[in-house]
Amino acid sequence: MKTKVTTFIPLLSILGVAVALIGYLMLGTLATLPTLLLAIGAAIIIVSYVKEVVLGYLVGFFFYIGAGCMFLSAQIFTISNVLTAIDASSFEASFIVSATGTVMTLVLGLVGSVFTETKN
Amino acid sequence: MAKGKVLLRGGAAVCALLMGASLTATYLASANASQVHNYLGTSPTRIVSADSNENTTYYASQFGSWEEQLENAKEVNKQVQEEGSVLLENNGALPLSSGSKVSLFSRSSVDIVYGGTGSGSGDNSSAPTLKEAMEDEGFKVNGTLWDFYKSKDSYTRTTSNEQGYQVSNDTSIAEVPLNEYTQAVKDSYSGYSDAAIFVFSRVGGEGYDANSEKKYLELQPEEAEVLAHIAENFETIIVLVNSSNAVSLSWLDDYGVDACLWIGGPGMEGIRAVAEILDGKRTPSGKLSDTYASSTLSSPAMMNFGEYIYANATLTTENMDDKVYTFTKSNGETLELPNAGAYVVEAEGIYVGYKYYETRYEDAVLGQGNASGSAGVYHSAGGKWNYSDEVDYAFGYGLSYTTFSQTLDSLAVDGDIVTLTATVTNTGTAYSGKEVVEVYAQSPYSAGGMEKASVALCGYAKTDTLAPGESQTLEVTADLADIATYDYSNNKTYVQDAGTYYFAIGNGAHDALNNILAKKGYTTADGMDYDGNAANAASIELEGKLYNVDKESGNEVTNLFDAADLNYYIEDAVTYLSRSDWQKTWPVTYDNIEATDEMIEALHNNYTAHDSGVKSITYGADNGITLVSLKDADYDDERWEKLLDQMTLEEQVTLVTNGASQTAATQSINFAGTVDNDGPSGLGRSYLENPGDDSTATGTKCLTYNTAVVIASTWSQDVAYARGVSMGEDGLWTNTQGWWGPGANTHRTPYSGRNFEYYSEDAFLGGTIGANDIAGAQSMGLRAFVKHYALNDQETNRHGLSTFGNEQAIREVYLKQFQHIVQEGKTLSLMEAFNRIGCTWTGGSYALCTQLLRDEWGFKGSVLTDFNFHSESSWMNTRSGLYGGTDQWLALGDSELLANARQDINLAYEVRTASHRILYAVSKTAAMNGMSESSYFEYVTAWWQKALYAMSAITSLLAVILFAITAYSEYGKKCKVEIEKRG
Repeated sequence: MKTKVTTFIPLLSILGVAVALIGYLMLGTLATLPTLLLAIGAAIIIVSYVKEVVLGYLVGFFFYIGAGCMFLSAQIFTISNVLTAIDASSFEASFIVSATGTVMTLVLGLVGSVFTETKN
Repeated sequence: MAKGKVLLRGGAAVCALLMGASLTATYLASANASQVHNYLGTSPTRIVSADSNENTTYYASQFGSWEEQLENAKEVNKQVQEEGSVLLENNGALPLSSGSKVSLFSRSSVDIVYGGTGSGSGDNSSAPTLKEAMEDEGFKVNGTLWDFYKSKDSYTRTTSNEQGYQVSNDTSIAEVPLNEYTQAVKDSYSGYSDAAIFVFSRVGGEGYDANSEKKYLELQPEEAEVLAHIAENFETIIVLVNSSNAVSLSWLDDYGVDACLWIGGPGMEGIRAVAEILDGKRTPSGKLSDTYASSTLSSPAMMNFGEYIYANATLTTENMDDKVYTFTKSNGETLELPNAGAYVVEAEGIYVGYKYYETRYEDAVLGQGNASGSAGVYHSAGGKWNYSDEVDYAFGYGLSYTTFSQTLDSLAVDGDIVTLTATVTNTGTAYSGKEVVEVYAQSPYSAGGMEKASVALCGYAKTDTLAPGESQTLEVTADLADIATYDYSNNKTYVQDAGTYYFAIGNGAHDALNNILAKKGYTTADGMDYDGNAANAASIELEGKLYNVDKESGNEVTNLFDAADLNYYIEDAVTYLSRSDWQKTWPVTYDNIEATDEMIEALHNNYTAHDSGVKSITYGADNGITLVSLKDADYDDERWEKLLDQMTLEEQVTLVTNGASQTAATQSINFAGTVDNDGPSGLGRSYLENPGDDSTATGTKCLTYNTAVVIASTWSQDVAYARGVSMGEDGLWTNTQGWWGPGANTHRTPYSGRNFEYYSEDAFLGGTIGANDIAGAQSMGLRAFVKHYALNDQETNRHGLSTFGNEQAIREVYLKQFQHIVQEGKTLSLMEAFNRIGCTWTGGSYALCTQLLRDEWGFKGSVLTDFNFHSESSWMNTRSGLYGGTDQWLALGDSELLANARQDINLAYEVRTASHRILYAVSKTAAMNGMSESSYFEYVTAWWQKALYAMSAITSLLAVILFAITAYSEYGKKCKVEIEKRG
C-alpha cells in the first residue's frame, strides 16, 4: 500500500480551521454558527480520512463554505468600512487572523476535496 | 487519480463555492438593498397611476430637461463663487489684463481642492482645471511649468483615497521642492511673466482633524522656498487661498504679494468664476466668514482640542469605530462602555472666533481685564498681546475691485426690532460691484457680570450691483432677542441687561468695533490700531428684560444643559475664559479628568422608554387614509392618528430603523419611500431623462457646489436661497427627496476636519445663510437633514466624545445656528452628531432632541442618527435614541427594536411617535409627486436583484447535479458491482 501526498491535504485544512477559530476567539465570536460549521466540516474530514471516504472530503468542504459565507456576512460592514475608510483605514489583527484562517480552510478544503485519493 | 473523477469533484466543489458566494451576495444585497439601490441608481418601488390626466406634480422643476438644470447649477455655482470670493489684498495687480501671460505655481495649482473629503466630498473628476478655466478665459498659461507640476505626481496629497475619504491626518502639503525645478522650467518664466499666481491649498475632511502639531494651516518650509523663488523672478505675485479652513496669511508681506484672493472650495464650476474674477469680468464681493489669525493656534479653543481620555478609562477592545472602555466605579462595579473614553472641555466659553479676538482688543484699548497680558500671545512682540500682531484679517472683512463708502443714516427701535438704514455708494470709477452692510451690536458689560462679546453680528444685507457713482440705501433689521445674553447661573434664561447698547456698521467686525470705540471717544492715542468713524455707530438705552419665552413656540426658555458643564459633576473643575481677567482665566488644557460615578452612569446611556400612559396601540386598521392625503396637513391634524393606526408595528419599526439612504416604503399608507443621500456640497447622483423613471439614468452626476464656507462668505441670503433651489432641482432630476445636508456646526477652531461643510464661526451668519439654503431646497421638495446636531466641533474621537461646556456657550455659539435653521429655515429634518453633549449621546439627549428642539423651538420634523451599525450595546442604540427624541436610524445591520417593542408598549409608543414625525416630514416633500388617491405603488425587482437570483439558482442547480454525479461515480458503480457480485 502506498500513501500519496495528496491524501494529507484535506487534513491540512484543519490547520486553517484552527487559525480561524483563534481569530474568532480574538474577535469574540467563537460561540457562533461558523464555529460549529467549521467543527463539523473538520470532523467529517477526519472521519473521511480514517474511513477512506473520498466523497466525505467534499461534504466537509461544503461545511467550510457555509462557515466562510457566514463569516463574510458577519464581517461585511468591517470590510466595507475599511475599504471606504469611513471610520477606520486598516484591519484589526483579530480580523486578519480570522480571515486568513477562513481563506486557508477554503483553499485547502477545495484542493483536498478535489485532488485526493484513498490510501490504497 | 482518474481525470474524470477529479473534474467531477472539482466541478462540484467550485460550483458549491460559487453557490455560496452567490447566496451570500444575494443575502447581503437584500439586507442592504437601500444602499445598493442608491449606489446603482435603481429604485425598489414604482408608482402606478390609474388616471394619467391627473396632475400629481406638487413640486415641479422650472426646467424642461436635466441639461437645463445642469446649466443652471453651473451658473449658481459660479455666482456663489463670485459673491463668496474674498479679495484680501490688492495693490492694483488685480484684475489682470485680458490675455495676460501667467505662470501658475505650487503643486496645488494642478490639484485644486474643489471641496473636502468624506461624506461632504463630490466627484470633481470632470471639473475644469485652473489652467483650463484660465485659458478658456483668454489667459496664456505657462505650459512648461504646468507640465512640470503635473509630472510630479509623487507629490500628490495623501489625504484622500479614491472614495474621497480622508485616510489619515497625515496632511502633508506635498509641495515640490525647489531643487527639483529644472532649468527649462526656470527658463519658461520669461514668456509668462505678467504675473505669478501661487495657489495655497489646504484640505479638510471627515474623520480626521487637520494636524495642528504640524501647523498644517500655516505656510510650510517647502512653500516658503517656492515663494522666495517667485519673488526673485516675478514683478507681480498673486496668491489664491484655496482653503475652507481659516489659514495663517501673515507671510503675504514677506514675499511682496501684490494681491490675495480667498476662493475657499470652489466646487466644479466655481473655478471658472475664479478665472473670470482674475480678469475682471466678475467682481468679488465676499466677506470672510471666519477670523484669519496670524497663528492658527492662537484661539483659546485650541487649548482643548484633540485627544483627551478619562484618566480612569481603560481601552479594552478596539474594533472599527467601536472602542470599548472599562470604567470602575467607587463601589467596585465595572462597566464596559463603547466609545465612552474620550472627552473635550470647551473652556473658552463664548470666546470663539472674532468674539475672542475683538473682545480682547476692546479690553486692551480700554485697559481692562489684563487684556494686554502674555496669556494667549503667539505673534505679538514683547510678550504683550496686540491685536494687529495676532489677527491678519477680521471676520467680515473683504475688498472689491471698486471702493465703497457706507454711511449710517438712521436707527429706530420698535419693540424688539432695531432698524438701521445705511447708504452705500460705489466711489470707484472703473468697476461695478456689490457691497455688504454688516451690523454689529455691543451689549453693556460689567466686570464680573455675564460674559459678553464686544461685538456680535446681528444683521446684514447686500446691495445690488452698483455702478461707479451709484448709491443704494439698505434697511437692516436686528432682533434684540438675538443679542440677548444667556444667563445660565442666575436667571437661567436669556437676559437683556439695562444700559447702553451700541450698533455699528463696518467692513468687518473689527472695523465696526473701532467705530463703536470712536463713538465712545477713543482714538489711536488710546491704543486703537486705527481711528474709527463715530458717525457709523449709534447707541440706544434699553431697560433690563428677560427673554424667557420663545417667540416661535411660546414655550419657556430655561436651563437644559446643566449636566453638559463638567462643573456639574466636579465642583470648580473648569475655569471658563472670562474677560474679567484674560490672564488668570486663560484656559488650561484639561487632560487629566477622572470620570465620577455619576458621570460613568451617564456615559452608560442606558434608558427605558418614557411612561406614555398608553394601554393599547392600534395596528392594521382599515381607515382608508393615504399619506398623500395628508400632504398639506398640520402635524397636529387628527388624521395622523388614523393613518398611524393603519400601519403595522413591523412597518413602523422598519421606517424607524432602516434609514440608510432611504425612508422606507410603507404599503399600508401607500407611501412609496424616498431616496436620501449625502451631502452638503451636492447630491452626487445621476441625472434622469425622466425624473420619475430610474431606468432613464443619464450617467451624468449632478454638480458639486462650493463649500459651505464660500456660501456663507457671500453674505447674501438671496444667493444662499438660489443655491438651495438648485439643490432642490437636482433632487427632482435625480429622484432624490432627502438631502443629508447642509452642515450647521460652528467653526470652533480652524483645525476641525469638517469646517468646510459648515458655514462659519458665527452662529448668526451661519444660521441665517443656512436657513435660506434650506428654505430654497425645501421649496423644491427636497427635505434637508441639517447636520450634525450638535457640538460636532472636532473629528478626533468623534464617536462618543463627551463634549463639555457651559450652557451660555452651548446656546449662543453652537445651538443658535440650528435655532435659526429650525425656526426660520423650517427644516424638516436634522441629522445628529456622533458625540455626546456632556456625558449623553446627542441622539439620546432628551434635553437636546426633545425639550430644546421640539418643546422650546417648536420643531415638528424628524431627527436622524448619523451612520452606524445597529447594536443594542452601541452608544447609539435604538432604546437610548427613542428616549431622547431620535426618530430614524441611518444604520445597517439587524436591530432588535421589533422584538423589544413587542415586549414594551411604551417603547412601541415611542416608535409610533417617531413614525408620525418621519411621515409628517416626508409628506412635505417631492416624495408625494405622482401620488394621489387613485395611484398606488408596487415593489419592483431591479436588474441587479434579478441577476443575483439567477446566479444563485444556476450555481445551486449545478452544484447539486455535479455532486450527485460525483457521488454516483464514486459509489454508484461500486454498488452496482457489489450487487452484480451478490447476484
